[in-house]
Amino acid sequence: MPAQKIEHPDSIIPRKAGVAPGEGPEKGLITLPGETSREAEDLAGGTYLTTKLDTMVNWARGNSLWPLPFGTACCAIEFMSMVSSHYDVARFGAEVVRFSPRQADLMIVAGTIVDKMGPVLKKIYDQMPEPKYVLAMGACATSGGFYRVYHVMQGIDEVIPVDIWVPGCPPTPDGLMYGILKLKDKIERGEIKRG
Amino acid sequence: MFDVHEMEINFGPQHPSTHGVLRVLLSVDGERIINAKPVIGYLHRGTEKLFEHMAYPQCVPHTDRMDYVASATNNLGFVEAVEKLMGVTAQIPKRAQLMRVILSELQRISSHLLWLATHAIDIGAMTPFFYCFREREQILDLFENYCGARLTLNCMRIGGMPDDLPPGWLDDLEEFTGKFDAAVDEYESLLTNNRIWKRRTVGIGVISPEEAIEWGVTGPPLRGSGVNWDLRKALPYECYSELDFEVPLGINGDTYDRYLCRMAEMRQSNRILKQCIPMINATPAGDIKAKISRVVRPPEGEVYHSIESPKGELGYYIIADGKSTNAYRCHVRPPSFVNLQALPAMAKGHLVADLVALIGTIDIVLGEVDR
Amino acid sequence: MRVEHPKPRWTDRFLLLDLFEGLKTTFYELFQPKVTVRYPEERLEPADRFRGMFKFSYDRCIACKLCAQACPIDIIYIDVHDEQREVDGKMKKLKVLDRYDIDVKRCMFCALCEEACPTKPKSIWLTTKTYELASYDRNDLYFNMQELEYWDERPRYTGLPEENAPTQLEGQKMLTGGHE
Repeated sequence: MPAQKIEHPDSIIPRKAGVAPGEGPEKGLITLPGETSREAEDLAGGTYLTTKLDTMVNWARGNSLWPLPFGTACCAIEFMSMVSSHYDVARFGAEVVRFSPRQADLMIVAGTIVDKMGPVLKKIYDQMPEPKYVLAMGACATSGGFYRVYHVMQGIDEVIPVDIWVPGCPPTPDGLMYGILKLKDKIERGEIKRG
Repeated sequence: MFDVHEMEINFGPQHPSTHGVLRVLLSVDGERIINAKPVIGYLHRGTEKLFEHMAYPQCVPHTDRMDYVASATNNLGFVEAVEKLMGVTAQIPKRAQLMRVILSELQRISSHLLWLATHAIDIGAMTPFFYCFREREQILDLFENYCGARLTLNCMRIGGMPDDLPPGWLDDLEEFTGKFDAAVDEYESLLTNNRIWKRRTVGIGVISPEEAIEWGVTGPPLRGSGVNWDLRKALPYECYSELDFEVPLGINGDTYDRYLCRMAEMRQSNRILKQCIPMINATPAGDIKAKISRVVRPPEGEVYHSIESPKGELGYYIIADGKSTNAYRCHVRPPSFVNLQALPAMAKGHLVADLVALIGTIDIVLGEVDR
Repeated sequence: MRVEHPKPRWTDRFLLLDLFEGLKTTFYELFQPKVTVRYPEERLEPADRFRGMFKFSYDRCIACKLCAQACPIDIIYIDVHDEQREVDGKMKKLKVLDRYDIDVKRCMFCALCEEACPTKPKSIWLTTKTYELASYDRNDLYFNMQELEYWDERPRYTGLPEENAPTQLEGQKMLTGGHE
């Protein structure tokens, strides 16, 4: 990799809660018509009523994600790359990798989930305390990927709700980190209300 | 007072040190393991069946996903098996052969680095994890520069290689090989003499040479027991017969010896890489593909071809019916699956905490076990 | 070649020299340059051959469907119809592309489609150096022809700069078009 680093001193990572999401670059690379309208609805409903305390709590939650790697296949290796020295997810307060679901609040489903593993996934998700978020990493967790066979779950939303999807086979650590940042934004906007 | 109170507990499938989704059904008496029974199938993706419905070139990216920490060697095995079936093995240009050797040796180093990182972190040494991943990222950068992916490379084609090396790649490789021996010294300074590491590994999971052969174990677990069997030497493929390297062999056959074997293998791989650089510079650039037809249609027949993957003997058994462009049947002989068989024999009588070291030392990848 | 076991030293019995050997390494590493890339602020540029997000060119495409044939998982959907068109004063039968969809959420980024593409330069290519693909909705990862061709090149994550951010009231106005 050519070590050409693009420096952007002006960039700011935390963003103001309650800002029209359709306008900001936090939407990421690809803008689709559906996404804009959906986020606009969110703005009109949930975020507008967010109080100061909620904002603070959401800020704290977004900056202290404790991931539980539910690693089954290739993506788990890239998750390890992200945690280790080169990409170091500790910069976002997410370095405390917990293997016990009772101590984690972000579940990273990394890899193929076959039907035999499905009940295990559901059980572990149920054991996690609220608030809990799920990140589906990789093509397999997102959609079953290229395993279009009867025994592979075609997307983990068959059993658990998912907050953010990161495609790629496997996604690069940067791509995964981008997903985590997007999830952080979503949490800070207070869009995730469950339980 | 000395009664055996047998208790059954589950180890996995969601456990940090099972390297995926292995489930081990343990019968324990207190902390002692009476019996350990691996339960597999939590990652069965039907790869062999999928091969029957895809043309041969389309199978290559699927082989990446079996042993995902060593995808270059998986590609190599499949591609060579099909070439053997077509009878074009001798036509592969020298440059393509050397590129294959370089990529698979880099992959061997990266796989062993990942093994060392996870094995050490399972046993309790956190520091090697960060150091290993630092060097591993350099290898992944080399892969990314060559073929555009970090992990699932898809870097070989039937009859040659997809692309020539990009300019400056060999210089990067030379820089890496120059620094890598010192890096291995660094890992060894952290672990080899360390008394905690020794207490956790010496005498754990001893497997005698006879037992290892009986179980069909291959790769570093077999060589750790002192059996001299390396397919690169025994049945040379590509241009391994022209390269000068040694096969490290263990003495006692325990976890510590297997660790030493893999460390020595990394040094030997680096030695091979150093030899390859002047050899590849002597070959004409761009000569990377044999002249075979675009549509791969092997004649009727069957073939078994095996190579030395980082985990052991990786074999592909392909039956072609001579009419279609996809295999009639493809069977994979994965090293991890066979090596996992030795786990109950190795675990008997040890503590539960040692099971973690044992699963680490046989270096299984569940994608390959279940396929 | 037999591996060499480290020789036991007599000092090991009462001194912890072996532990200090490791500590020496970690102490040395303390002063080495850091390898961490601070991702959102500085982005490592991927290699030239890096296989990332698809880009498609309608003008170059000759509707030969070779990419769809090469795809191992059949996620490229192409519809074509024939049309009589006037080219250089002659009526010619041309293939016109109606649909070119890629189901990126299933893609394994093997670049076999790019390799199969016969046009020069390629009409479908993955070397866009783009990997930021995360989405809040899975169905957003299904791309049609227009989206594949005209996606916005915004290759990095930045937070919203505070001074440019619209206030909540402005956001409301943008949504309702100024109507209360």
